[in-house]
Order: sequence, then structure tokens, then C-alpha cells
Amino acid sequence: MRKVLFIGLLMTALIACAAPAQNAGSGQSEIVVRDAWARPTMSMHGDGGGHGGGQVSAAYMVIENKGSAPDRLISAAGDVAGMIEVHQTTQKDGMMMMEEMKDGLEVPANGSVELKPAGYHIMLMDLKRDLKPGDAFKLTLKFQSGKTIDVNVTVREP
Amino acid sequence: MKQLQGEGFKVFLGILASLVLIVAFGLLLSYAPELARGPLPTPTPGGVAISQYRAISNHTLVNHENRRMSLADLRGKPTLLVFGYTFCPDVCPLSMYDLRRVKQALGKAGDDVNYVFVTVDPERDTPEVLRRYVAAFDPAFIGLTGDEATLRKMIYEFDGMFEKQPPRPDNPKSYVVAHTSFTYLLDASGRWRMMYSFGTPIDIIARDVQALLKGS
Repeated sequence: MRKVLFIGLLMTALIACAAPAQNAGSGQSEIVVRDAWARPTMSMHGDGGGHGGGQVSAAYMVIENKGSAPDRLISAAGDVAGMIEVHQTTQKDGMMMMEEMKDGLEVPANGSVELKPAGYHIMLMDLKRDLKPGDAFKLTLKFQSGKTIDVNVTVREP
Repeated sequence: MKQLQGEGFKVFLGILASLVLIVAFGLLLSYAPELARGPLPTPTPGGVAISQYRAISNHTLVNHENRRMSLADLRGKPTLLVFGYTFCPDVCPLSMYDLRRVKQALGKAGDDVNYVFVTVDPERDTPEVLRRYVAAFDPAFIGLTGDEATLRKMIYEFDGMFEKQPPRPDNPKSYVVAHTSFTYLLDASGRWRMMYSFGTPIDIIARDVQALLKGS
């Protein structure tokens, strides 16, 4: 009786250990980005729209992780804008606002994260030029694993 | 032998129960961070009717052509109105694209509606900035700004609010403005009739506008 119970416990313990180990273990992330797009800007002719804050837009995409380890988007860079940050639209006291995701954005193992309106986005501030439908620009995404991925972002209306 | 079978079954049950627990725990772990700080929930489709039509005060603002404009000037047509600011990259412009889609969905009747963007950021959104902003969506769209106190009074009447957030130390012009982001429908007499959360399907808004157009 004791022996059988012991075996049972051992087996469940093994399973319990194996399951999280698969996620958090020594596997690697494998990042694929698709459907990257950004909203056109308002034809403000490169003068920052006259309000001194610079022109803004947001880039959206699906980041897939086909690997067995989670990863994290920590930053994005490109010459299209002076300031590029990973943002989240949040609600605070019933109001919508955005916040920089200072710890980055998790991309789960064998999963994906979608950057989409009213959720996550890559905020493009102080744009260097107008973005017109059909234009494209490059963003370089940096991940916690050390990987960098170049993404071609198409400008289109939502 | 019989006893062993019974014990074997117990072990099997034990493993099964443990497995269920492990899976449940794993699911909890993978969803917990998402629950804590995930994106906004998907809005429920459909608008919210304002049960007692609320007359909005006749605030005097400045439009995108740098002319004084009172809300009474909008009367005679139903009005779709949003609050936002041009530095807002995500929700505000997408609400504006939605207004344009409503106009398109209405066809010719779309011309019998006012489409109004009211800024919550009068500091940066001058009439000139608004002129270029609204024109980028539709030449008939109206942009409104004014002094902050008036804008604040106006958004309160829609049970809304806005609040400028502290700017970044390295770029004082990069501040964001938290604000309620509904689309409001007013009738031709300037009474507030409906509100829609961000992401409400275009057809639903267009249908309500059509009903108002028929009624007026």
C-alpha cells in the first residue's frame, strides 16, 4: 500500500516538475513578426503639426513565439521617428491613457501577442516625415533574449 | 490481488487529481499576468441610450477655422462628437476613422450630420493644428478648441473628464492627456441621446443616426 502510494506521489511529482520546466527551462524563443502596420499621419508637412510635440503614429503587429522559452520585447528602434517606445493603452479612473511598458512586453512560449488599437502599440513620436498610405519603414525590435528582428511596417488606414 | 487493484485505482485517481490541479495551476499562471495588466476588455457592442435626453449647455468654443462657434450652431442636424487630442496616437485617430466610416455607411444622408472633434489639449491643439487634423479625415469634419475651463465644463456634462499627465523630464511637450473616450450622439436640438464605447461597430452607430434623421 505504502509502496503504491509512494509511486503515485513520485509520478505526480515528476509530472508537476516536467510541466513548468518545459516553459521556463533551457529552451529558446523563436520570434516571428507578421502583419505590421502603422496609421498614416495627418499631412502636417514635417513641422510637427505646429504643436511642438511632434507628429505621432502607432505601429501594430502580431509577434509570435514558436520557441519553447518565453521572451520579452524590450524596445524598438528606427530612423522613422525621434522617439520610439512600447506602450499600452490603459484605463485609469474611467479615462483612457497610455503608459510606457518599462519592463517590456512578454511574448509567451509557443504563443503570441497582438499589438492592436486600444491595447499594446509601438508609439512613434517626433516623426521625421509624413506617413502616407502605401509607405513602408523599418523598425528593429529588440528582445530580452538578445535577439533583434527587423520588421517592415506598412502604412495603411485602419 | 483484489486489494492491489483497489490501490492501483486509488493511485490512478491520485494522479488524475494531481494532473487536473497542475493544469489548473498552469492555466492560472499563464493568465494571471494578463488579468493583472492586460489590454482593455473588448467593449460590448451597442450604444448606451441616455434615458433622459440631456440638453448640453451652449458652450462657446473656437473652431478649426479660428472662428467662434457655439454648440447651438450645430443644431438643425444630429451631431456625432468625440473628445480627443492630436498627440494621441492610438484611440483618438481610430475614433475619427470610425466617424468617417459612419459617414460613408450613411451614404448621402451622411452629409446631414455634424462630425465634431473636441480637443482636451487646448495647449497644443490650436485651431491651425485642428484644421489640418480634421481635414485629414474629412473636409466636412469640425474641430473645436477653447479655454480649458470651458472644455472641462463641457466634458463634465457628458459625465466625462480629462487630465493632463505629467510630462517627461526630457521632453516637456510629450505629455499625454488621459480622457474618457466615448462617441456621443446628439439630436438636432442639441440634446445628448446616445453614447458608444470605443470599438462599437459602425453599423450600430449608423443605424441610430438614421433613426434620428428620420425622426427629425
